This record gives sequence, structure tokens and C-alpha cells, in this order.
Amino acid sequence: MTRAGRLRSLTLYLIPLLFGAWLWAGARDAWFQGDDFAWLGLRDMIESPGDVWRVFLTPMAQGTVRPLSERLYFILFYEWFGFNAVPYRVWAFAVQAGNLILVAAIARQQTGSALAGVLAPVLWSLNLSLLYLMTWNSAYNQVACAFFLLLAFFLLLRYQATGRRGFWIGQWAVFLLGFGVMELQVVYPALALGYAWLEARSLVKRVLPMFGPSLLYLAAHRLAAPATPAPGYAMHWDASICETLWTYWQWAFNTTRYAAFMRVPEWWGVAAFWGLSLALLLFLAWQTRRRNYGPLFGLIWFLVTLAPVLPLRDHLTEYYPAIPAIGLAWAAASAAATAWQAGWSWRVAAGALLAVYVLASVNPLRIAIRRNVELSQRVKAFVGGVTRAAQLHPGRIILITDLDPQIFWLGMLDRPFRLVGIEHVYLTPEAAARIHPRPELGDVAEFALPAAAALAGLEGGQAVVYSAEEPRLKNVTALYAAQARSRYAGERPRRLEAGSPLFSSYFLSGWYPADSGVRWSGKQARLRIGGPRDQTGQLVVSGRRPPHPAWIGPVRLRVGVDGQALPERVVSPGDFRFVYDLPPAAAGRPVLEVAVEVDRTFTPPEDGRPLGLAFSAFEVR
Amino acid sequence: MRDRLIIACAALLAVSGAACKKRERIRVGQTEEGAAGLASIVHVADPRTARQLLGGFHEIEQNSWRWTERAFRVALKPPPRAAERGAVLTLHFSIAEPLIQKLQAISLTAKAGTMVLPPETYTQAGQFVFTREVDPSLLGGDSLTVEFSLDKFAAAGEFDGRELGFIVTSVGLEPK
Repeated sequence: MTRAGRLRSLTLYLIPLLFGAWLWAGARDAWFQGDDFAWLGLRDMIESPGDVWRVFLTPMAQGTVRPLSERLYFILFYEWFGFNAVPYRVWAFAVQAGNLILVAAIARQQTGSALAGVLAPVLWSLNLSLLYLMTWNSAYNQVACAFFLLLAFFLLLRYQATGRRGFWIGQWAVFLLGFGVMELQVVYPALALGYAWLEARSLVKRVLPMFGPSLLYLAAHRLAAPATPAPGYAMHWDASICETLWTYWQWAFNTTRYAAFMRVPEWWGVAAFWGLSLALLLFLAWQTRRRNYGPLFGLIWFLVTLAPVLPLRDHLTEYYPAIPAIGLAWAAASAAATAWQAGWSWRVAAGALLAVYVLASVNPLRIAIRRNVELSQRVKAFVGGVTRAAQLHPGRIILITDLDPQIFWLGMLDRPFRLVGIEHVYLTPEAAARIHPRPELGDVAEFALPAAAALAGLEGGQAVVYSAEEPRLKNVTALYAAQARSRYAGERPRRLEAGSPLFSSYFLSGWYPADSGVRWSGKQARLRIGGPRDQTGQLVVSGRRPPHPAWIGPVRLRVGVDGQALPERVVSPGDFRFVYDLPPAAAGRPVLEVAVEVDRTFTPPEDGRPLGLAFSAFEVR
Repeated sequence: MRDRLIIACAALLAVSGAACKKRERIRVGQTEEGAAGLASIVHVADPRTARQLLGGFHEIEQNSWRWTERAFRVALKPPPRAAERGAVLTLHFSIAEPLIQKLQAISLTAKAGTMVLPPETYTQAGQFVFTREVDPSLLGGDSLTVEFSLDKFAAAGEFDGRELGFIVTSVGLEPK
């Protein structure tokens, strides 16, 4: 190749790279959100060399094992860069740049057209399904998976074109490594077979052995993955697969989602979708009839890479069509290149269709990028604000009120605060009530402090309250305490977490301070708890009698309610949980006084205190 | 040659992000501290202090006042040095002509924290200011909850669908 030829070739690769850089520039400011915090926590799970394998290979998040694209990515980057999100983004952008080069190279190889080589990566970059890949660190696995699939396929094409063994070995190596990136790698043999069947029959037999590793991986994954999938991840092998395919097919053309971003009638997007969709399908049919199977392979790529998620009827996900859309980008680029050579009328028609797609993509993408980045920045401000609050009030519970539910799901659910050693961050009862339950994501109740406990914490000076109404958190402890007194005064909790200092005011006499999730009693102890709603009320007492060599023989526990004795129980070493029927007279009483007594105490030599039992909770129900 | 170049470019780009930098801790944000958001004087039509109206107030009317129910509560921030000098509780309100015609006399009682303050009885329509001294011992915290109650009022349905008492414009703790 001449120098001018090399320069031209380089320019043709640079155009899509520069276009992608322009289009996605705003995504560089994306911070962490949602699942990112769970993955960032992986680093802290490694305390000894023995932990490494466990952390890298234990199935997590719906039973997936992605050591390269999730575990290694987050562990290394967190180790090196901590909460600086920029290097994470730079890395994802770099791998995506590799993807664009490979998409371009494969398009050029398949069509022999420089125009197709430029258009294919440009059209793919414009796909809305790439939004999360470029703005969310947890979707890096998709970027990396695309890289491994594309690289393996590119090496297969080079092997077919040159016959050089190195390409074949390289393809195998990339294919096998890809299993460490994402489970979608199992479909690669189907892609290779599809290509070989359509365009290189001599390769069919050579490709077949690749199904072996895929089947082995599937079997191993089935063994390792949880038997009961998480909510929303149940597979439905029925007609819903066609509906799901239809939805993703529409999403892949962007236009039907255009009205959600721009002020245009919905019919515009639908009409544009039908126009683009039919044009592409007619082109595929025409080329297939002419025995040019390159465009048809684009459709096969779309269907094969989408196939694993089609049974997930209840888990339609915006970024699932991202890798499949590469196939449609190849087909569309091929169509445009063919039209370019077919005369002006075809050029105009193809140009008009491309213009519709570009128009339907650029502004929505930029708006969506901005929204996602802003959302992540709000998460950043929230996490930073809570961290500051914890610094200002060490040892106190941080209560959050006025929290936007979206920020809860993205900035609290995955417990980012534990990464900086902050344990006790809760929602006020009102803030929790504002959040619409989404059981497929998590349980809001785990993050909400009961009203009585919140009030107790405020009265005891153990809690501070911050309003998250504005990006800068505002200490509203005094105001909230006044509101809580007004709302919750007289309310008694029906469940006392004995190990939480927030409930200390309900434990009257005979108790030691809360310690490690339990509260030790002496020989006798008393507490107050909210009364039952009706005559069928029960008292549930749970705790632990730790095994100790010097503590032999039974311990008898006597419980009384408002002076009335309940049946005596014998406590063996280990956990205990006793359920007592409450006396009918207890019904309707706002508060019950409960007395506990053990027949003998135990004084561990290393502690020196006479201990009764370690109680974890008292509950009236 | 071209193949090598493509593979090299893709690989180079894929590894180019690995330049090491110092691990960054979470960037600590700023918070508004103090008794932020809590005012000593609450204008009932001011949305910024609406949260201090703990109960017993109806919606804002004419951008300036609210009807109350028979009992109404408000949280107030003690003014500076109130824990030493005490403060003056001040309620600015009006009594509507139809209400006083119907009820003849209405007594207003205020309870500041745990202390009941001397009541006052009104027999005419018009604008009034209810003031009472508050003992310094009640003003040591970040906030003081004041509960007002009326002995007579218009029950829901008598004038409109709401329980109606006074028309309040502001309530506050003023320094002595």
C-alpha cells in the first residue's frame, strides 16, 4: 500500500472514532450509580490471597461470573483510582474505540466498501441502546463483550482471507478468554457457524468444535447459578419471545423512542420505524436473492446475540440490543454503500433514510446522556453529603429525609457508604413511604428506621437528620425532631432491636449496654414495649446463649408481662426464639412492661460481669 | 501489514486507559449545618417555613394567611441567648366577624413545650396580637414546639367543609 493509501485508510478509521468522541463526549462526566457500588465493594472483600479466587469466581448478580469485565475491572480500578470515575470511563471509551475500529474493519472486509466501513461504526454509535454502555460503569461488561466477539470474528475473517494459522489460533484464544467477560460469549460458535455456512462452507467443520466450550460453559453455569432466579429474571419459553424480539427490533431503530425525548407526534416515530425497517428487510431479501449473504449475516448477528435475552419477558433492558445492533449497522451500511453505487435516485433514497435515523438519534442521545450524567452527579453529591455528615457527627445515626426515590435506588440501595466505613444511614419513615416498592431491586424497609426508633434516637441525641431535597444536604434535626414529636409522640415500637442503641430508652433496668447486635441481661431485667392490637397477641423473645466451656447445664428463663408470669422455658446453648401467648388482659394496652429473669448468671473470666442471656429482639405481634 | 495495524490499534486503545493514578477517596460534599431551615418567626404563607407548621393549619389563602383548626401546632427556633433571657411568644391573628357573632367569646390557650401559658379571651372581631413570655428553661434546645388551642370554633360544615378557628398570619419567638 502506498503512503497515500495508508493515510486514506487511517482517515477512514479516524472518522468514526472522531464522530463517536464528539457524540459521547458528555458521558465522560458520569459518576457511579446503582450496581457500581456493589462492584466497588469487591476490593474490600479480598483480605487474604485465599479470598481472590472466591471473589473472582463466586457467582453474583443473578448467578453471573464475569471475572474480567466486572471483578477484575472494578477491583483493579478501585485499587488504583478509588472513587475517581474518570479512569473507568476512559478505559470503557478506549475499549469502545477498539470496537468501532473492529466494526469498521469487518464492514470493509465484508463489503469491500470504504463507505460501509465508515458508516457501520457511525450508525452503531448512534444507537440509543449504547447509552448505558457509555454512561454506566456496571455496563462495561457489554463493551468488553462486544470487543471479544468482534475481535474473534475479525480474526476468523482474516483466517478465511489469508489461511494463516495464527489468526485461527488467535480466534480460539479470544473466544475462550471471552467466557471471562460475559456469558453471551456462548453464542460465538453460532455466529461463526452462521458466517461459515453463508460465506465460507469450507470452514463449517472447523467451526463446529467451538460449540464444545460453549456447551461446557453452559453446563457449568447451570450448576453454579442459583436455582431460583431473581425476580424478573425468570425465563419464559412461549410466544412472549416473539413479543420481546419485536420490542427489541423496534428499539434498535431508535425512532419509536424519539417522541419520548422530542416534541413530535408519536406517529412520526412509528412511521419512521416502518420506513427504515421495511427498507432494510427488502434490501436483505434482495441481496440474499442475489446470493450476497453479507447483509443477511448482519441479521443473523442481531438474532443470535439477542437470543439469550429473548426469554426474559419481564426484564426488558435498554442496553440488551446494544451488541445485536452491530449486525443491523453492518446491514444498513452495506445497503447505503450499495445504493451509492446504484445511481442518484437510490443515493437520494438511502440518504433520506439515513437522515431520518440520524435525526431520530443525535438529539435524543445527547439529551439522554445529559440526563444520565446529571443523575450520577446527583448521586455523587448525595454520597459526598452523607460522608460529610458522618464526619461531622461521628458515631451518630444519619437519618435521611426528602430523598428523591430515584436517588434512593441509585445512590443508597447498594450501600455506597459502607465503602467509606459509614454503617448507620437510614431513611426517615416519611422518606421511606415516598418510595414506591420495587421488590425486583431490593427492600426499602431494610433502609427505613421505624418511627418510634427514629424518635428515640433523636430524643437520645443518637441521630441527626438531613434533608436531601437539594443537592447540598441540610441538617434539619431540630425541625424534624419537632415534627416527629408531634407525629409519633406516644407511639411505642412493637419490635425492639435489643442490640441497637436507638432502643436503649425502652430497656429499663438490669441490662448491659448494647454490644455487637445483642444486649446482655443481668439476672433480672425489665423493658417496655408497645402492646398488642387484639387478644391474639404474642410476645416473641429471641437471643443467644453463647456456648462456653465454663457454662454448663440448663438455664431457665422466666418472662412476665405486667406482673403476670408466662410459661418458663429452658435455654440451651445456641440461638433461641420463644413465642408466648400474651394474657388477654394485655389487649389494647398501649404499653406493656416485660420482666425477664434467669435462674442463674454466668461470669466469663475474660469479662467479669455476671451475665444472664444475650437478647437480640423482643417483638409483640 | 494492514491486519497487524488494525489488531495493534484495537489492542493499544484497549489498554491505553491503564495509566496509574493515585486512588481517590470519596469526595466529601458540603452540608448546611446549624438549625438550618428552622426560623424563630414563621410567616404562615412563607413556603420556606411551612414545615414548621406541625398541624392544625389549612392551606394558604390570598398569599398571606391561613385558617386554623381548633388546635394548631408550630415548631420555633429559640432566638439567640433565649436560654438565658427567655423570649416572647407572639401570635398575629384575626377573628372573623361571622365567627365571633356565632360564638360570642373565644379563649386562646398556648402550651410552650410542657408549660401552659395564661389564656386570653376575645369577644370582638378584628386583628390581634397574642403575646406571652416564655421561661428560659424551655428554650435550651434547638426548637420549641408551641401548641395553641381554642375553646370554641366552627365545626366542619358550619361555614364551609373545614373546621375553622382563627386566621393566622405569623407566629414567632422574639428576643427579650
